Amino acid sequence: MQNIIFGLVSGSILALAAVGFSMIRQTEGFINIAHGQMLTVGAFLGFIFVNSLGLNVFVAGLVVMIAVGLLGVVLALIVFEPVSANGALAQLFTSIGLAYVMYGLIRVVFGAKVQFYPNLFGRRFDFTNFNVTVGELVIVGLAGASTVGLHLFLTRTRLGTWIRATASNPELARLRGIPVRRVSISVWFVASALAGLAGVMLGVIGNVNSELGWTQILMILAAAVLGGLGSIYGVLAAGLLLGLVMDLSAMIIPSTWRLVVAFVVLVLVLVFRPRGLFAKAERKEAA
Amino acid sequence: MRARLRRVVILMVIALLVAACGDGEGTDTTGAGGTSTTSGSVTTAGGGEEGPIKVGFMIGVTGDYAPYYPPSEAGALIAIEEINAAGGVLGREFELVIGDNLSTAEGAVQAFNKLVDVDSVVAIGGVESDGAVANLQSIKDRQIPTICPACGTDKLDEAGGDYIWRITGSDSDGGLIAAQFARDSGYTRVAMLVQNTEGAAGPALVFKAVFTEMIGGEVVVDVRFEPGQASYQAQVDEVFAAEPEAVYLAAGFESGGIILQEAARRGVETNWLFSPDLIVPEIAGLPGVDLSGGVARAAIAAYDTSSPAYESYAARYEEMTGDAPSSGLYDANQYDQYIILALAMAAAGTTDGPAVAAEIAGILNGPGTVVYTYADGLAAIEAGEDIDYHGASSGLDVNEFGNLASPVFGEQNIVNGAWTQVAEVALDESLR
Amino acid sequence: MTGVLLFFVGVLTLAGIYAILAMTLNLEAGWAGMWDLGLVGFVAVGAYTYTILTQTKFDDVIIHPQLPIWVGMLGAAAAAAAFASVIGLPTLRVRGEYFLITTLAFAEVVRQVAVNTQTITRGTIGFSELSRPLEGTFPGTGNRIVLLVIVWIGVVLVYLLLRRIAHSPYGRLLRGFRDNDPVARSLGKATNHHRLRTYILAGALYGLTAPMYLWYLRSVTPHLFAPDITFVTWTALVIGGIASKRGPIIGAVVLLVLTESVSLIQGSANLAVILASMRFVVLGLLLILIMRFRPNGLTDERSAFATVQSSDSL
Repeated sequence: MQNIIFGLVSGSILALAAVGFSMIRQTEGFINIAHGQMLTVGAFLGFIFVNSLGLNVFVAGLVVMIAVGLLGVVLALIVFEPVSANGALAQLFTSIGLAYVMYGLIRVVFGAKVQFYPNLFGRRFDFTNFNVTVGELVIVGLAGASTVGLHLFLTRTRLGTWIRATASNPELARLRGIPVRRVSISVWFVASALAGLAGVMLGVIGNVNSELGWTQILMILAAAVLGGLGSIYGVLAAGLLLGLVMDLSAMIIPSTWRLVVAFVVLVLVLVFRPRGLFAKAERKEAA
Repeated sequence: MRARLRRVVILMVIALLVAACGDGEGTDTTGAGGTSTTSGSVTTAGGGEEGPIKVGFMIGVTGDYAPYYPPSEAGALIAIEEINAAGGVLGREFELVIGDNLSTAEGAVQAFNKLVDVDSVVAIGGVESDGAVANLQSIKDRQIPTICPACGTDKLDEAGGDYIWRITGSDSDGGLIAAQFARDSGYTRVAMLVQNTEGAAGPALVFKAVFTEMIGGEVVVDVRFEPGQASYQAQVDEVFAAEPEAVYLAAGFESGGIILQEAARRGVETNWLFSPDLIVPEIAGLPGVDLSGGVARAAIAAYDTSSPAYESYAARYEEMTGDAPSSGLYDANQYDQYIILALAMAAAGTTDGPAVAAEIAGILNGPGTVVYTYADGLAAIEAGEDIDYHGASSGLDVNEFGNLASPVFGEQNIVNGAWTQVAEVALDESLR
Repeated sequence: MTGVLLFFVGVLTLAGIYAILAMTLNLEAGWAGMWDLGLVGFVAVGAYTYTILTQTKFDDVIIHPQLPIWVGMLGAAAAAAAFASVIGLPTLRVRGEYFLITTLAFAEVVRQVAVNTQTITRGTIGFSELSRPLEGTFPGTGNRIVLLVIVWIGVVLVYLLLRRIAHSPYGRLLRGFRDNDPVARSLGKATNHHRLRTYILAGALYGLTAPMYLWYLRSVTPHLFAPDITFVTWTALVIGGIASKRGPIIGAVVLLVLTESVSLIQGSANLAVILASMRFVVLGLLLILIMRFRPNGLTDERSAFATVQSSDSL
């Protein structure tokens, strides 16, 4: 039971990061490796706000979301937009290049030191065979609230509807007069903001270090693929699922093999459902 | 096609030019924080008879070991300053050249080649385990005296002595002492929580063997984990579900810190036995975690805090960084290695590899005039005496394999938020 | 100046190794359209097979036949090819990003197996002090030049082999699969058969490269086989020009020469962290600029091997 809570916590964070990643993939059409670095920036900024400026962690989280969201938009305009004509491969490798540049600059600006948050988890509730802290509830709760917020945004607002339309068929969306550029900017903002928030959460439960972007991006990619690239909710579920699988598997197999289990599960799923768990039909097939 | 190829060739020529010019660009050895500046210099290849003597600092500036770089750099710079303040080596300035090994074996090979081929260094310090092992043969081929300040790998237990020395304890010893602690505290059920890297798995292997076979204890659960994850909740849970009397934790401080915080969150109380990598300020000062009162025990080749060398070094280290030296960060070892190299060159009267290498054991082992600083050592050498350098990190006597002959281990506990040595520990050789 | 030249002997040796990896990746990705993110897994299989078969220093492992080097190389290629045939079946059922993540997953599994099977691979500790070919005949510095020559002979051989494939009907078929053209698709089930053959061939080539990498490093640990090698290979390929024949070689050389040259820039100690981080910034900027202004890479081989712009759902 305890492991279910762990799985939910790490899964929620993964889901938050993966959702943004998936949105970019759908509306912009390429895999953005630099997404991982957004988490790192969020983690460091959050730490600075809390530690040096003494902000309340929730306020810090909010500020980080806005800051990283804006950063995402700026980078998209400067770096990605000029390359969009060159094809998805070029965009993918541009994102890798950007990831490297950001990584180098993060180390210069924030330093290579590993940082630890003070204990923000609050009271612990002990039950018979498990316990849970306030902080963990908050993380899962926040992730849930963000999901609900995202859902409402995508279904109840005009901009959200436009985003969904563009995600499922960009050409048609453009033809129908949807302002594609505004959609694009919004997606970059939301995706990056969520990544920033996920970064703060990662810092709180673990630590803040410059390698975060690289260690997380592969899991994010896994969650996005597992969830089925056409489905945002699929990705959310996949993130939670991956987190749960990894932590629950610790109960049956020696933890040395945890990562192997996660990947084997991944491969098995893809063998039986080659388009991911919740995929809708894809409009184009990659090679 | 021709045009493209031409552009590529031009690119490469530019790169080569950059490289060639990089050889003599602004190198200097100013201390951090902009204190006294010994003159920077522009020369052609070092290692000749004129100009500064170049020594390499081959270390992980980036990559997994990057967190260890700032204290290491401080230790090294203090040594360089001291050497040059006493007139340098053989009347020439001692100059540090940095090679980033990217904390990987591939990077270490590249960095070694750069330092030796391009920068013409005559000796190398700062080396880490992966790099030492990967470059072992090259070190011997190129005859570059190399000192490893922090290598714990047991691959060096018998591989050194002619061109490579290490001035810290071996991982094998670290694991053994932890088992000794377990025995002395009467633990019979211990859980192991070990990171999947050589620096942690090495001592863990020894701990397990000694604890189970020699002491007859039981390892109730042996949990391994990958570094770099954001959370280790499941592993922590697995360890405490087995209800051990104590937990042996071997990890880097990045993951170790996460684990300790998680244990504190879950409210578990236990006794901890740490591997040496955790004897760092980040762990002692970990927010939200209280391990004082001997709850966490670790041992490491101790800094002899009563030694004049240590006191003098510590004062300077504190002034430069604002922290006290820390055995887990090996900063004093980084300091000692360059003093050793400088003294060896002075004793040999040359920077020539084999000659310098031949002197190292002599200046570190007795008999001889005991010296604690470069200046004293230099004076004694010039007076024709044999010296015995006792450094800031330890007495530095080495055996035929280039390892510390009888490293003195100190037990460390966390006292008032900092690691402090509480006792000396004699290795129980019967446990090997 | 000779010191610099000697340094670049090492750089070019490493560049040659990555050139072979990049050419093989080109076969997989550029010609056959399989975006492999797990190539380091094959290198790992090859590396450990070679080491286990040939190493003479350690006897705490269950298998140590101490066979000669050439046997080790064949063994490495064979083992990697066998591995490819085993994982090829599930992996090739998926396409695009799914293929990416599956290959990545398998590579990580290989690495984890290497970490956890103490008795065969010596776990995280690995092997060290591996010997190089012709060490006795050419000791010291000469040995490095010998290694350079060996590696580049390998580059030339692989180049010729792949050029042969490129101009063969088989090569045309591969491009057909990549571009999803109707002729290729009409083959139906044979598609998978051909893709599997390519995958296995690629696996063998990766495995064959592994011993060279180990000669260069003289040691092997699981840590070596993190995804870094995969990323550097991909970067080299893309910079050089994916799908072109010479591109991978040029890309590998340019990439390694540039990044290593950056490391030669000296500065004072307290700038070290900044300078070292600049390596990544330079690498990243290089990628960004090339993708922006020369998305087909530095070479520009047209002919039938135009870059993969059609399958752009990445």
